[in-house]
Parts: sequence; structure tokens; C-alpha cells
Amino acid sequence: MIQYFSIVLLLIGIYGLLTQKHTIRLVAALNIFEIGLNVFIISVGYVRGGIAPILTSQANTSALLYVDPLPQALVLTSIVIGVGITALALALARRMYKTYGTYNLDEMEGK
Amino acid sequence: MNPILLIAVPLLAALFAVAFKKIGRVLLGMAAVFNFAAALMITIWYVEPQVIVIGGFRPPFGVSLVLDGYSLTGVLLLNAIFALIMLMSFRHTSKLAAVLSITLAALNGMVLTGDLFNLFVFMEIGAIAAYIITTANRDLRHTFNYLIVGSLGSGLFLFGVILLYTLFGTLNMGDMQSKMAASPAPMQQALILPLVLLFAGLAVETKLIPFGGWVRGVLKDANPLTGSLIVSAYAFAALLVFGRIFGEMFVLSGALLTAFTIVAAATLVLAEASAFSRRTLRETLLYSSIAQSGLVVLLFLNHMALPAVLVLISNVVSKLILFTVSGQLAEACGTDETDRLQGAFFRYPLLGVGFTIAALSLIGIPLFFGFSAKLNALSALFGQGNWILPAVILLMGVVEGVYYIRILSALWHAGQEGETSAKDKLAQFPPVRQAVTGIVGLVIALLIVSAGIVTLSSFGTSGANDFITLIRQSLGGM
Repeated sequence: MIQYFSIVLLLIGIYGLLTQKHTIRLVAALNIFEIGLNVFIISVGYVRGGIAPILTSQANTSALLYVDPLPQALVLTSIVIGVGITALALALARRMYKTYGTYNLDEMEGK
Repeated sequence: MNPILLIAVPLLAALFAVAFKKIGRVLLGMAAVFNFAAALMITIWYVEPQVIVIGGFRPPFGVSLVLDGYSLTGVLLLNAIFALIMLMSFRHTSKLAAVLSITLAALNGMVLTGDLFNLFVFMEIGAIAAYIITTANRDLRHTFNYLIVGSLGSGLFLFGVILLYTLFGTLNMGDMQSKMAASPAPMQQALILPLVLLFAGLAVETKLIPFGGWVRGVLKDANPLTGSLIVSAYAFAALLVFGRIFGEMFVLSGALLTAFTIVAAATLVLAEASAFSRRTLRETLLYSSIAQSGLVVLLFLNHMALPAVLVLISNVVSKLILFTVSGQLAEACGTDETDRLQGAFFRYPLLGVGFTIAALSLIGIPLFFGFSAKLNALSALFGQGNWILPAVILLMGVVEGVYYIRILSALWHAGQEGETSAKDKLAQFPPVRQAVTGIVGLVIALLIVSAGIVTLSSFGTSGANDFITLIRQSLGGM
């Protein structure tokens, strides 16, 4: 179920990227796309009824049902990269606003 | 010498360049020189393919680097290209020392890594650095456009990687390849979606149509540093990654191969047509670069790794000098319109020699390296019984020949008396810059000629499947 939700988020993000002309909205659409992707990555490692993959005195055998820890590690990296891209995109949008006086890409064309 | 140093040293240089801004460019220069020297030493001592384990986690459980003939070719030429770009465009690096050091680390990581997610990380680091480097251009809208398209492409690539992980339970390229070979037929069907996503993701950086729409905006006004970095160093690393994935890991066939081949062939044809119709140097060169990417992708898809690598090397080495000279001419004369640059090489022939030999090599004139590369590609395609693709490549070669000859005749022709010519404006071109670019261009031209003769001498008799082996066999056979 959660994977369908992530696919919907991905599609909303792509729709936004294809249709929007406002730089801030484009950055928001990119973030929605990335969140959809991150939710999908997390869902890949999910195991119903699984426990955290940490060895303890109670959970000390590989026969137990663990969730896959790798996607959680991957998604952390993905989130960090996404934040970096967002920061850079917002900085560019702000500089473009200072130059053109608008956030709209179409309105920048004529200036 | 451990190849991890090719990534670690530039990263360290970037860290110190942020802390000590005044010596940032010195650190960048040191990192570039170190990387080239290290890559050269690794090549000299290279004996056999090896996997470099990182952090004690043996593959496939940890991230590892792969050093084979393919990646060795990549790091050797990549670091040489990067060092030459720094040498010719050093004055443009003043505010970008840290970013360029990170670029160097990321590009080396892309070529060396043996892990798909690690590849995504290096691609993203390289992409973020590229967005920042392109802000040196006047119009930030193009950089913003590049950022949006690039991030979407990276997202699709990551989506494809995760789907592959769900199918095979590993991110290690070698492990995935062996699991794939042992997988049943239904699994092959399930590969279609991830492969389409990987292709779409890589198509942004390899500039395939329609994913390479960002290129024109970013490169048409690019300074020598930005232009040569994007069309040379970045294109080289991205296409090597493409070859690793679609030329080695996944051997395509059927409808998927046909569809991807059509995209690559359309890129080649449309980009050559666009290059032909342009009248400014940088626009012509950027479309020529897109066309060559299409050709390289075409060869990789059709399982011709060595011809693809040869064409790729020929293209990026020639474009390095072509873009640098074009950018510097545009800076000196205030325009890069071919007609208004008449006589530029007449005024300063040293600049023109490197440019001319690089252009003639790209056209495929005998004895230049480009000729060996194209001959290798065409005979490999003919060997497969394929007639359509060689015909397309030959036809596009003629188109390419026409526009390069047009450019060369304009730049070497001094013009009639009384006509506006670039030769007087070039007097403002600083002599030191002319000399550095001219001499580096001359060295590259000599390499193009000697590599052309050396590889041609062993052509057809060599059983090499990578560039390093080919050169070693060629030199041994002389």
C-alpha cells in the first residue's frame, strides 16, 4: 500500500516539474518527487512484523524476522543529497529574483 | 598505490580549500597534479584487474572500487584532461577551487566504483559541483534548468537502482551481474523498467535527445573552464559509466535494444544537423559533442566497448582543445561567430595548429587518432553484418567534415582588405594565455597524431579489449 502512495507522490512531483513555471514551485515539485522516492526506498526494506536489525540479548539469532537495514542507510544519504540540491536551487531562485524581479521563468524571458 | 587516493586526496584538498581560501587554487593545482601522477603510476604498475576493498567489508557487503583496463583508461585520461583544463583555464578557477577539487574526486569515484548506489552518490556530488560551476555563466536560468533536469534524471536513476536491489538483493555491480546471469527468464522481463529508468537517468548527463535539452543554454556562452569541463571531463566520466552499465553489466537485446539504439541514432543525426546549421563556434561544438555522445552510446549498446572507448577518447581530447580555444577567442574578440572571427588563426597560428589538428582528427582524416577510432568502430559494425548504422555514421561523418572545414577555412582566412577581421582584435589577447593554450594544444595535437599512428599500426591484429592493452600491444609491436 505504501508503495502505491510513493508512486502517487512521484507522479505528482513529475507533473509539477513538467507544468510549473514558478521557480519555488518547481523546487517544491522536486521535493515531492524526492519524498516519493525516499518513501519507496524505505518501503523496500519493510517487513511486516519485523524487528530492528540490532543484536541484543533477546534478539541474538539470525533466524528472527528482521527488517532490511540497507534501504534505511540508503535513504539517509538520499535525504542529505536532496537537502543539498534544494538549498542550491533556492539560492539560485533567490539570485534570479534579484536579477529579474520575479520568480516566474516565463516573465524572466522578456527581461 | 591505492586508487582510493584518487578520490581521497582531492576531497582533502577541497576541505582545506574551504578553510584556507587564499591557497585554494594552489591546493587545487596540487590535487590535479597528484592525481595525474598517481594515475600514471597506477597504470605503469598495473598487472591484472583487482577489486579494492574499503573499510574491511569484503564485496558484495561493502562498497568497493574496481580497477581493470576499462576504469584504468578512465582514470588515466580523466586526470590528464582535468590537469590540462586547469592549466589552460587557471585564471577562471579563483572562486571555484573547492568545487573543482570535489569535481575531481566525484569524477574519479564515478569511474572507479563497483557499487551502484555509490555510483549514484558520486554522480550527485559531481552534478552539484557542475551546477555551481555553470553559475559562472551570465544567465542563471540555464543553470536552474540544468539543476531541475539533472535532479529528475538522478531521481530516475536512483529509482532504477532500488528496483534492481529488490530484484537481486545486492548493489555490487559484479555480484549483480553474476546473479543476473543465473536468473530465470521471467526475471529478465522484470528488468525492463529498471533499465529504462537507468537509461533515462544517464541520458541527462550523456546529453541524449530529448534529455540533453539543458546543454545549449549552459554551453553556448560558456567560458573556457565551464565549456571544456562539461564537454570533456564530465562527458568522459558519464559515458564511461554508461558503458560500464549498458556495455558490460546488462547486455541488451530485442525491443529494448532497438528502442535505445533509435534514441542514440536520433541524437547523432539531429545533433549533427543542428551543428551544421549553427554559425557560432561554441554552439557548433556543443551540438557536435552531443552527436558524438550519441555515437558512443550507439556503440556501447551494440556491444562494442573498445571502439566506443576509442571514439570517446578521440572526441573528448579533441573537444578539450576546441572548446578552450573557442572560449578564449570569444573572450578576446567579444564574439564567437565564425564569420566575425575570420583570420583569427592567421594572426596567431600556434592557437590554430592545435585547433586544426583536433578538428581534422574528429573529421576522421587518416593518421590522426580520430581516424583509427572511426575505422575501428565501422569495421566492428560491418563485422556484425550491420549495414544501416555504418551508413548513418559515414553520412554524419560527411556532415561533420563539412562544418569543421567551413570553420577552419574561415578562421585561417585573413579576409579581403577592408573587411572586418578578428586578426586586429586578437592583439588584445594576452600573449601568456595564447602561449599556454597554444603549447598545450600543440602537445595534444602531437598526442593525437602519435596515438593515431601507433594504434593504426596494430589495427586489425590486436586482440585487445581495452585501451590500455591496445596501447601496450601497439607499443610492444613497434
